Amino acid sequence: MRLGNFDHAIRHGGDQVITASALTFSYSNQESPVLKRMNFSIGRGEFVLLTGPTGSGKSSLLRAIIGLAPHFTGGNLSGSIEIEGFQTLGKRPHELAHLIGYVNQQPEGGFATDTVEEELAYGMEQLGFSPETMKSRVSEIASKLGLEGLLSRPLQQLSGGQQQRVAIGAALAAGQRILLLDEPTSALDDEVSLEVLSLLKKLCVESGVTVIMSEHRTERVLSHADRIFQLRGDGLLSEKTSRDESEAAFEPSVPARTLTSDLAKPALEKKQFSKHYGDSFALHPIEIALNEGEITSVTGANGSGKSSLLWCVLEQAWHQKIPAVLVPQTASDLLILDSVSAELASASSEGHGEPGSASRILEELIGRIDPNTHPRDLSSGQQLALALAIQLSKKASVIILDEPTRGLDFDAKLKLIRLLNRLRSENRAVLVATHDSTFANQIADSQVHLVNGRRANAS
Amino acid sequence: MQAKAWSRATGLVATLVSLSVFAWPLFISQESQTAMAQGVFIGLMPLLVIIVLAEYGSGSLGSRQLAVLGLLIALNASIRLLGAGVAGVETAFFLIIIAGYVFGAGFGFTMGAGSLLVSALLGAGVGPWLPFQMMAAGLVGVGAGALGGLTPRLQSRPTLEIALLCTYAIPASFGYGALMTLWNWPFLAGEGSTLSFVAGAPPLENLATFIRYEFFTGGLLWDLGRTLTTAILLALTAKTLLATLRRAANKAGIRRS
Amino acid sequence: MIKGFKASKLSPASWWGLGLALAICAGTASSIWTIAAIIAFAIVTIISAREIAPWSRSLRFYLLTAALVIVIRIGFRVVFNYDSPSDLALDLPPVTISFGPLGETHLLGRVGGLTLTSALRDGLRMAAIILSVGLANSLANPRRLLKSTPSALYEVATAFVIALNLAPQLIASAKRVQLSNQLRSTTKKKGGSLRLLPSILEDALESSMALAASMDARGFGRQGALSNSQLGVARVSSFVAVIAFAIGSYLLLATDLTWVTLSTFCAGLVALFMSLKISSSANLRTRYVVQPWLVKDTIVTCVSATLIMLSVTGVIR
Repeated sequence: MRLGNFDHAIRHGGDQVITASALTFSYSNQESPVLKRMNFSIGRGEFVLLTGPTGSGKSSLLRAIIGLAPHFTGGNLSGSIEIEGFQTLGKRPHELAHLIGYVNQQPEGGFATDTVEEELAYGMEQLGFSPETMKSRVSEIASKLGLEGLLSRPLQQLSGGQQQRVAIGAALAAGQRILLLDEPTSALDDEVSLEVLSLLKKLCVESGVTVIMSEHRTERVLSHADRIFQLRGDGLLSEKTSRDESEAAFEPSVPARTLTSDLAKPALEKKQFSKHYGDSFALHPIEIALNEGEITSVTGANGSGKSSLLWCVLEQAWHQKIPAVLVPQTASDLLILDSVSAELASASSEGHGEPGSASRILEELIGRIDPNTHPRDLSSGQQLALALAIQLSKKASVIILDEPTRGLDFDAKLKLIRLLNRLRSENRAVLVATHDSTFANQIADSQVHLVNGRRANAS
Repeated sequence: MQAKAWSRATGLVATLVSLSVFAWPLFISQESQTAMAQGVFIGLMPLLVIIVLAEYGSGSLGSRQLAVLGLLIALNASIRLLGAGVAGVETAFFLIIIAGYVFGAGFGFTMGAGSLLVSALLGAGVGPWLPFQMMAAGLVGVGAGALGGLTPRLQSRPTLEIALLCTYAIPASFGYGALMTLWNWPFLAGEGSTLSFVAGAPPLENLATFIRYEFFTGGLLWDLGRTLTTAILLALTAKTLLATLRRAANKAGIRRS
Repeated sequence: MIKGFKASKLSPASWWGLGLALAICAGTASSIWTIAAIIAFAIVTIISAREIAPWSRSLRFYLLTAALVIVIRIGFRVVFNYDSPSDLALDLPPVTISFGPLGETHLLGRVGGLTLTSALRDGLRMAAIILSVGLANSLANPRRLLKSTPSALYEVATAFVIALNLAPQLIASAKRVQLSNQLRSTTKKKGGSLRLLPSILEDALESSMALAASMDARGFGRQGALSNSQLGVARVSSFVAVIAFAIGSYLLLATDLTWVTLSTFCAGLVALFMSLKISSSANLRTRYVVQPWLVKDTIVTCVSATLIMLSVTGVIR
């Protein structure tokens, strides 16, 4: 492909930066299109929020803009997209790299180099910038994103928030004015998410970058977003105009839990839990009580030891021959078979539950999924729902969930809450780790807050 | 298309030259040249590896094929590091054979060479043996790729495919063993011992000495161990791995190379 | 070495050039002094210039390997010995094993002093080669080296860098999948690790696709076009190089013509260099230079090249 058309000077197509008309996209093995004849227009410097239920096509839309759909995902894309004045439908991602920056869900999965400065410079290398320009751009973008002291740091040693900032910097280092982000705060805890969001807003306002991001946890983003696009799941896009209406829809009211019973029957013999690797303790010895018919939540920042605690409890349960199940953070680790139907079928044989209970739970959470789909082809929210369905259908007295809300939209979250309430009424003991403090407040009978592997008072 | 033909020719000649570089003790005719041969060939083998890699990489590979390649190399390097230490148990080859079979000779070569390189960098240790190991492992991949190219219609008969791959494990493992033993023959036995090569002797005589050397150093036992490990691992995993890799190849649109 | 001279001051390519030159020099050397000098130089340089880094394999590994090779060499000459009565050093009972059509092997017997000394010298020679490679490996950052490959190798080098980054993550991922597999039942059960391989593979393939997407979205894969004539010259050049190497090898193995052999190899090198250079001219990528090429690098590389020339032509013995 000749470089002639896309030189480094960006042709300004007026004030509208991205314009799409009749944009349609469908995956190869599905009949109904994920994006159906969408029309929209986004202006320079706008902060656009994409929302919608799981599987409604938010990621697909972002990928269609950057060209990853169809070139990386397969499927058919039609209609037209105009970016910065260029017609870009069907172009490969590397042909659009100088116009758009793209940050995927897990930033550390996208790192191509070893250190921060090399990662920031990577895009510029591919685009052929001169070494002097690259040097100055790297320090420029590093100071904009607060990464100055970290330039020679290896990428694996960074925290989640720092990695996110590096990914954003790497996407914008070559001077791109459009930034696409797919669920950038899903893996970050509240504090860090706020930092990243205000950073993005700053880029919008001060540097005129157009930011388009998809997000489930919309309540955080609402105050920053200029426009809100809603995908309803049938392939259509609509824009939310009235702010009040959206706030009501995004903040479901669930009555706060009150502890009703004084008689707590422990599900597990009370034991001290701790985990250490050599000399360093991931979890200092703490005692928690897990009682039947109660939901206990564990909150804390990333790395505070929540997962370690959960695994300890699980091993303890196994040790005491109490049937227990756990849904891990990466739900897809649990899915090892070839199709959704196979997974559901094996769930009932593993857990000695009634046949069909798993598929009922799945349908309850997110509706019908084509049973022949390969679990790896599902969206992350759908995978989580499937994992939950499999594990929750089993006859277990202790149920442990590690970050069960990541990737679930509000509808599914409500249904999960309802499900958990039902489990409570069935006298099971439930332990949930989450960094969503709202969710924790809504379901928990007792809360445990961890800071650096120790129990602390929740603030 | 003409460029591709030249590329293949270059790769082919390079692998043939590498075979003679491995086998130099069998053929060397002048005693005076042995020292120079030892020195030159240390430098020549890495160059040959580079040439074949460059020919593979000269087409536009694309990020997807590279990512899969990098991943498989990482996987194989980890497997090799985990399985090392036990005599004769060499776990690194079954994945090279399967990957070469699915993705083609060039991919197989890079996979073989890369696995040896990365596992050396990550723990197995870099030494003068490394370029030779890289070439030998690369050749295993090339053979598997050639095999895959010759039998496209076997995809519908999975049992036959697995049998074929297991059968290939035999010449592949023994071939690798023979090549690496040829490398360490002048290195360890030098000249002047009754098991050493003799410059100027007829190749067949040197070959007989070499076989006796293999016998005494237990080389054949290692080769047998390698063959068994590879064949067993292939038999156990080929069905699912072939399916997974082919699915990935289709999904990402990777062509054979 | 100059005090305070640290490994990272020199480009990794320079270190590898030096290591290779020393290895070739050791390979062609016959004088014990040359060999001893190389060994001493390698050890001293490694000790004084090395930095604490994950790639710098301990000196102990190389010394142990070298010692092992020396012992094996001497052992070999003692065990598989030609009877040499002139200067008796060890008198061992001679053993002969017959292999039928494959000839006979004579073992032990009377071992001469000359045999022992020449075995020791050969062993030291091999040790010198190992230590030279050890020098390069301990002092050169392999990732930096992979970054500075010529453009024709860039894509393959990228795959290798990806592999270097992914491998440690894979082991962690495998553990995670194995643990998760135990979760499928309500009580603890052993997970069969082989059964999990496709799951690990699927997981890993997905993450590799994510990496590919991130690279592509930043411009990886742009290619300039070489004109047809340039393409043709580059391909023919590498073909010529390889043919030159073939002829050179033949000459080396079959004849005594040192100078002709060497010139053929040189011709091959030139052709290879040309081919790589032409392929690089279509390169649209630039390189973010973290470590620039300095004067010291040029000096060291020239020294290495000279060393190779001198040893291969027999000036240094």
